[in-house]
Amino acid sequence: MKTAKQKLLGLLCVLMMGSQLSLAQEKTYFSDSVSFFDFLTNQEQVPGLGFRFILPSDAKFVPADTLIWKKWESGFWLGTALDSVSQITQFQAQLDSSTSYITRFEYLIYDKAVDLEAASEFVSALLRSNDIFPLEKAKSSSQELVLLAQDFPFVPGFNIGFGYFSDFKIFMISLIISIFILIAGSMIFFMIIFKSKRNRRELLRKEIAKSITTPLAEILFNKTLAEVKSTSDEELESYFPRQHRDRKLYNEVLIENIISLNKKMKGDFKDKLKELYKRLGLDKISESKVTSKKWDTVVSGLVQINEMDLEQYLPLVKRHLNSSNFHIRTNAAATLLNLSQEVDLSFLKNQKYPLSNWQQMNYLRIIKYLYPTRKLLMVELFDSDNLSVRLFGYKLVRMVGRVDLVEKIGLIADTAADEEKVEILKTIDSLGVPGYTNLINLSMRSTNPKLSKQAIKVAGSLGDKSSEEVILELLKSGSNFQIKMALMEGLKNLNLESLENLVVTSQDPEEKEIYNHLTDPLLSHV
Amino acid sequence: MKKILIIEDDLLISSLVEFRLKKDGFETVLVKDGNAGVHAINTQNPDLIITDVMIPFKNGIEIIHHARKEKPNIPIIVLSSLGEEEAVVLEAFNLGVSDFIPKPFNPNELSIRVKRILR
Repeated sequence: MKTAKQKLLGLLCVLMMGSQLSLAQEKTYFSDSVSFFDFLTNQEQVPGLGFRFILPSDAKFVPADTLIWKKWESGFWLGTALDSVSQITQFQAQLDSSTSYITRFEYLIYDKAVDLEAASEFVSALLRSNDIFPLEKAKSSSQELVLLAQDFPFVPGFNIGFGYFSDFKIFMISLIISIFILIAGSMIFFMIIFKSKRNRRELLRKEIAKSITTPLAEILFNKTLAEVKSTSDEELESYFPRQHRDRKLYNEVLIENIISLNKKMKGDFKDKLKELYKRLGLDKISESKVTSKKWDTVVSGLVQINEMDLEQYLPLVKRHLNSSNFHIRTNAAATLLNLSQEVDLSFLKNQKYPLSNWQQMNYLRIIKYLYPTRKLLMVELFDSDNLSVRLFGYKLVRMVGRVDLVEKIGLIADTAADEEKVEILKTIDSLGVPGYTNLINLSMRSTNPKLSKQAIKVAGSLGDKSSEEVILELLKSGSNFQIKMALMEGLKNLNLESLENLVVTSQDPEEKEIYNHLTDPLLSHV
Repeated sequence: MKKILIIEDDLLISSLVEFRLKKDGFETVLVKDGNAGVHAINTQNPDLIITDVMIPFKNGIEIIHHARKEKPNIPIIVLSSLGEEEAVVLEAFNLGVSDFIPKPFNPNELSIRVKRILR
């Protein structure tokens, strides 16, 4: 059951809706005759609405251009029905200037004369029912660019192709598009030329490679090394014609093929190829490459000197040992190591740039290959101002097993940086040289965890009673898990009984867990 | 005249091997890839095959498989720079190759081995 309050609310809603509806129906668009006439002036025509001029009955008839006047029964003169306000304004001005009478006009709705109020209501009704829509009022020409433009009649500038220049934006866009098309076209054009040139070059390379295979095979299989050495220039020219050898591409292919064969063959074939390389004057090309200003050409020259054992160019190679270019530096060092009579690493002492791991690995590979047959001079590495060179020296002692140098690096260790001490300890451990417990014990106490862990590891294999005491002391002083585990592992390797005693008396559950881990045969290496 | 099939993608090496074997009086057939090698095994009826391991389309091991299936008695020599890779060498020998010559190699040594096999 609805309460009185709800009923009242419902009634209010109905009343409000009704009131709004009523207001909407009665809404008038024009406050007075002036606003109505302004509207009509702006609208120009309203369907069904017309106008007609009226002159008094005693007026002397003055014919206007298109108005036809009729004498009405009441004695008034009535003009023809007009349908636009502009006509009213136009004729009004004419009549005012040519008659002394006051002219007026009346409204017609479907040819029936009505007063202003009825006309206004008629137009309002049309507006309400959306039968007509009010037109926008013309804006001031000073605000509207289009209207402003009308004041200046358009003169076509498109005659004889100058249209583009009359509009800066169109001109710029056209220019940019033209430049873009031009650049794109040029790029495509040059790419096609480049590609075709490269294809032609590749074809030529194949042809040259094919043409030199048989002469190479004949020299390699039909001649001994001595015969290759004593081959006359004329005979060489019969294999490799001079006019071809004057061409850069021919020489390039010849060098590539000889070096490739040198890599893939063994025995006296290598010697024959090297001799042939010199006899054909290809070594001069390698020499010129090493003095080039382009780094890739220099590297290529260095590789050729290295591969073909051109020892006479070692002075040129040495110039590049301290080059700022990594590749030149590396290849120069590799070439020098390969071609020198002894493996003298003193050139690294003054190396300004740090040795990368890749360089160290590369040099080590060469040194390990050459060391059994050549003298290795490496003491100066330890005196280098370059830390990476000194580190490489310590690693090298370990890799090539130079036990005789351990004493020297052991002495250096006292004043060395932590990073160096780590490498020295690794070397001592790897070579199993005893007598460095002082260094080991001091390093175990280091605050540098890397050095400390390395020293503990070495102590496990090379330590003595004093090292055991240091380990126990460090364990009692409390350490982080990683160090504790390293200490216990070191102690296990040094003296298992001591470790067992420690665990039995220890109150630290972590130590017991580490002990169980270390003594478990399955987990001990994990 | 004995016919030897050489399957090698390195034109220079294959040409030198061909030159050496021709000099020894063998007839040679030279192909540059695995597919051509398989085709040559089926059509050329060679007395010996010399093959590289790393060749386009079908590798040397696949060639050996095919040869063993189609012509079980043809001797095969593997010529490869993968000589240090034990697995490849073992697989090749398991498939019954006659010899394995690692690169770098001496063509004269290859010639001697070929003659020994075809004797």
